[in-house]
Amino acid sequence: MPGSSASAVTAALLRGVERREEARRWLLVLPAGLFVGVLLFFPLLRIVSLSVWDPIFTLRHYGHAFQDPVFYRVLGVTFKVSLLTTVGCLVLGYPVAHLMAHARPAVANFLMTLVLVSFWTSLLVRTYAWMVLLGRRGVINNLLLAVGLISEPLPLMYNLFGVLVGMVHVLLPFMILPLYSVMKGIDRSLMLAAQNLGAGPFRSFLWVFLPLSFPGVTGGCLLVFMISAGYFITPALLGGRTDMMMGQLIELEVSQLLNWGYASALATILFVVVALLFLAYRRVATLRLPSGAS
Amino acid sequence: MLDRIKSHVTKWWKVEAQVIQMLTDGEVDFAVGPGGRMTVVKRQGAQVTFDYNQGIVHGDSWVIPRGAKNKKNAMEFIAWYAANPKRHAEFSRHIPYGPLNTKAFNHMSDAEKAELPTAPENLKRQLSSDSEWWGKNLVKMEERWNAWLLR
Repeated sequence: MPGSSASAVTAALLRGVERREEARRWLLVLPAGLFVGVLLFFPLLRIVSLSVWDPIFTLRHYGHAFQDPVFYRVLGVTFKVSLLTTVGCLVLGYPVAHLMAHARPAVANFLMTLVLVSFWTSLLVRTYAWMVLLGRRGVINNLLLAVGLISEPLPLMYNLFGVLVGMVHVLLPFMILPLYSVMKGIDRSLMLAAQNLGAGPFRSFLWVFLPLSFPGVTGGCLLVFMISAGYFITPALLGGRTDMMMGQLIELEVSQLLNWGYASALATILFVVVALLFLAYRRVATLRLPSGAS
Repeated sequence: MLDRIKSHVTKWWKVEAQVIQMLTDGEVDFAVGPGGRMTVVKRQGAQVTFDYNQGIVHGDSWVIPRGAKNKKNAMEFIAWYAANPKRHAEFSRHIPYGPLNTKAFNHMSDAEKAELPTAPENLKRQLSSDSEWWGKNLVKMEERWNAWLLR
């Protein structure tokens, strides 16, 4: 029949258009693909190969790491600091994102600007600002001394506390932004329905809002944890003797000892451990996710 | 000795600017630091003073890589600079690093000499870092040092 053949032709034409569109989309992805492929994957592969070719195939750098007590200490510090930073960011960031998602647009915009201003300020500037605040003769200690609350300056930096303050501050936007974008998408009528059915504000938050915001929690925690694990400047400046993180050890091996092979092995191990944690965490987080939220 | 002071040390600094900043901010009361920068901030009016007593002298070298394209020019530059004590003296006037050419001190005032680590009066109170030994043992010592720090 003429009618059906015409529609077949239209369908074929449409398919052709779609295919061309698809091809065009791939073409548009090409620059990003090349960018990441050349500038990220190639150096990553190079790092892995540096860690096992020195100058012939060897696993001695890995053997060295796994036999070195310093390696385990530093790995432990790295994960301790990353975990505490993530918890700190979540505890501080969740209420901020919650407020932003519920505030009037003008207020939400204002809060967003505050979050972004700190996001845009250089990491180094922010870390040095904390040094001015936390120092022995810094703003906070001087204030507390002047008021008479303390008689000796408190040790606020060159210790774990200083590292955590600096890192939580620097990484807070990475928690707030994913949380906010997920919370913004939560249908508020669900909360109203819960309250309508007799749940108080606390229960409706606990049983409805909190589970629905879980993807944001997962995303934010992952981002913060993974960035923390590779951190280097803030712990180097605000940390004390025992707060050495993997990034610092790697930097030391490269810049002081020119030991590229060992540094590459350390970087590879950190990468693998973080990747494994990521997979494990994703598994746990998806299992916990209630069916409605995924 | 290090074990005894370990718990009282605020920061085991890594970058030279760091220790100067900590001294001028009053973050620490006492430090081991680089003489050149110390002299500079002292001149700028910072409330710090220092002494070369038991200091460690590090030397720097002019290095030409093997097969360098401009080897001839580099050699000429070194000859022009190193063979001329006046230039050494002038260099140390701009940044208080000690000249290695001892004749340079003939072109300096006593006050200028007193600031420099390689001036004879200062040099005899210090010891020299043994580059050859460090070249052989750096990796081992760095590992031992880190293990000690983290303990």
